[in-house]
Amino acid sequence: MKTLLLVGQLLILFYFAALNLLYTVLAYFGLKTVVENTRTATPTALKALLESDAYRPISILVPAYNEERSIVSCVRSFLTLNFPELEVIVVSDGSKDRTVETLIEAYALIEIPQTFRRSVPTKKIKRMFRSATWPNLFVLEKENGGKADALNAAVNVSRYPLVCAVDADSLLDGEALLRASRLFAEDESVVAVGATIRALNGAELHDGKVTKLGLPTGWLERCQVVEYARAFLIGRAGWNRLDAVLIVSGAFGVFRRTAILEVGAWDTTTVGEDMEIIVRLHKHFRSAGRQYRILMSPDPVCWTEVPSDAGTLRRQRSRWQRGLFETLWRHRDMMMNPRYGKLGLIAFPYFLFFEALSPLIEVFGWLFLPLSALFGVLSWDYALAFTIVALLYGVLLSQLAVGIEALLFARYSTLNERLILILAAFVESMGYRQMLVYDRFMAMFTVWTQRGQWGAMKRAGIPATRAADGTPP
Amino acid sequence: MWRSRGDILFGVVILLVLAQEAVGFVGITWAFALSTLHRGGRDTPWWILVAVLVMALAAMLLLVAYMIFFHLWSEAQDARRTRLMREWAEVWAQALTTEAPVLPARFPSEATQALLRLGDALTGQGHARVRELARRSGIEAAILKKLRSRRVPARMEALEVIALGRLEGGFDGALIEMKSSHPGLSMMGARACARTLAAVESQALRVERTMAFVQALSASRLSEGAMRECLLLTEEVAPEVIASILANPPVSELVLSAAVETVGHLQIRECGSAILPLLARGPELRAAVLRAVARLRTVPADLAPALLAMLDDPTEFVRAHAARVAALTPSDAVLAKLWERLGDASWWVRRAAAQSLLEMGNPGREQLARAAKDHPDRFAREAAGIASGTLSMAEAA
Repeated sequence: MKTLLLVGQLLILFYFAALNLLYTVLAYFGLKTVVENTRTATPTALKALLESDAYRPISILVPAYNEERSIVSCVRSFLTLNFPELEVIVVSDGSKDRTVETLIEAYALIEIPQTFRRSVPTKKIKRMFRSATWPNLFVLEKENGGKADALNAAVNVSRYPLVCAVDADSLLDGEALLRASRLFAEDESVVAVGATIRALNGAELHDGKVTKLGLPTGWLERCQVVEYARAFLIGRAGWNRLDAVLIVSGAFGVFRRTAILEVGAWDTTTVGEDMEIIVRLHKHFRSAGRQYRILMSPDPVCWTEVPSDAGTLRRQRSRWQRGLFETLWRHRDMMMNPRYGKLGLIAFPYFLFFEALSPLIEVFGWLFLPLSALFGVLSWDYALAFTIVALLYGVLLSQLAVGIEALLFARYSTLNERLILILAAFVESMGYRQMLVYDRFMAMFTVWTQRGQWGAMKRAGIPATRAADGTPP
Repeated sequence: MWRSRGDILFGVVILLVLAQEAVGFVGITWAFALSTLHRGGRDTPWWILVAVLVMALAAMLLLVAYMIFFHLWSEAQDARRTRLMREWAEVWAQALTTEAPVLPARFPSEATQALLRLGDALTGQGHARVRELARRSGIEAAILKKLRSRRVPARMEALEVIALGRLEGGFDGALIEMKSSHPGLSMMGARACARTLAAVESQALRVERTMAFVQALSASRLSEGAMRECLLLTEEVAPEVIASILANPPVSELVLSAAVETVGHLQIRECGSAILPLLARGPELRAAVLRAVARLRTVPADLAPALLAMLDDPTEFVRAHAARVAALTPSDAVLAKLWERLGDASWWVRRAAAQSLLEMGNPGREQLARAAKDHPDRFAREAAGIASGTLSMAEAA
């Protein structure tokens, strides 16, 4: 028993070492992604894309469920993006509130015949509308089928070669579509592009655009600002450098429409549909032996409202954990499979051991302490030092992310905010993360019992703002 | 969206943190091993653990200090940069109107940016004057020197300036980068070449550089979309570039496809007939030719017989494009062929055929109405009915 406990302690040490070292290496690679992206996605490049007419038009797919409070502002923000040719397709997925009615009033919607090809089966579409004032706006009212089903309905209606899946509470940076479209225009093998997601809480908006960035007042939200910086500017940017992107956020992802249809579009039986479709794209193109790329660009930025109360946050993380497990289990044949290259040999094991199972290992790590003490194999000096170092290294990683975030032009601009963010990196690693570890740990036992369930998400909603010329939204 | 200063130093900081973590873990593992060998007694070398903790704290302090320093420094740099850009914009505007301007010996990077922005806002003689200033001031020479840097980000910055300023002296260097295995460098090199080519005034030089550009394009690993973007950027000299491509058949299909698309996008009517021989090539090229013709909105006389044959093409998307182009050349033979295509196996072809009949005026509309009632194929009746507005998709289903 003593040997077992000692081996357990050693494994936890090595696990912790591997996690931190790998993440720091990802930070370096993430920075390299940022550095190169800065030099390639220049104003000249974007201007050349526009002048040369070489961009690809985009259909923005907006699944909405009970979004009457913010849907009008949200749609307006999409319609006024800096992009020459786009259409916005809003899908009310069985909303019980006045989402559709609100849109009808705001955008002078007229019901039209449903003349589109049903490439992907979905729940029944009850009505289809087109705006009399914005000819590139379409609205579908359908039976409830979930976010994935709503996205699939929107894909059926879409006319353009690129589709952009967003959340109804997402706000896109003005040039987000241009920056994403550039990647598709310059490389035909690109099938999906993800972006950096940043917290909208605390920002000032005008005409559906973020005009001034400000830190949220709540520490829960501040911790999420740091967490998102770490996840996107280190984690995903780093994986992009290794050409092993396994997830594109559901809040903003641009896809080649033909690729989406080839794999059968989004899976309606999982809550992790954003990761699941990316993994399926990888499998599909690799199996077919076709050249393809899935990218995460640090440049196009999407703003989203992060949960401001603990209940919603914990439900959200529980759902993410379940979605992660569902996807990993569903595609378990990729694990350590050399046929999938770096994805199978590095990315998949990483997501399993260092993302999915990390709550389990952390909880067992804490349990090891009293057990080891009971059997007399615990060195208190070592245990205390290890715990402090573990916490400090967690803070270090978060600080690295805050450091990369400082390279952005659109960053938290005052020194006071910078110092608060640095402090938030401490709070995030000492308390916030541990709270979420518990929920993620419990989520592991509900993967099969709560399959496909999203839970209730409470949001304040994007405030309706007047347009620059004073007209109401 | 990102600052281009401070990233190198931050990279060094990350590597230092990585090194500190690696040493720290070695230390902790060593401490653990020692404590295990002494069976959990109080023999754990405390000084190892203290050293690891101190190193971790030191790394954290370094990181915090760096972030505060960078924030304050970059805020000051942004303000300085804005001021310098404004000042140098005035200097360059003055120099443009002076016959022999007296220029300082050295220029900050803001001076280069200000000059290039000014040049970007001007055309013709104004832009030529800006390029001359860039040459006389030594800015061009400095950029060409930067292009020879071993650092990839530095070469990218140089290529960006060459593209923005259309600096003729940068063409040869950019051409070399086109052949780079680094996709970012290759794309930026191609873009720089294209924009620079558009600014060359000497006919002989332009011909020579056009051929070199086309050869480099064929040898590069750029995608068709990237090639198309570059060809579109050649602007006024695009007809010469396209003619050079079409006159040299050994170029790759990607280049040919990009060239054909450019014909349509830039409305290069003089190349409208020159692209027709490509109809004998693969389906992708055939479709590209049809798209170009559709954009030109003019069907060359030579195309009419081939168009009828392409309406029977074995490839679906070729038939769809041919059906679209058919709207531009109404005739009894075309009307009859579109009637057949209304019953095509492909939904896209049926839809294109119906749309074309709708665009062909009265003869087409009559044909469509007849098809909606009398076509022997059910799907053809549906396609015709939907296009003519007599049937909704829900009813068709």
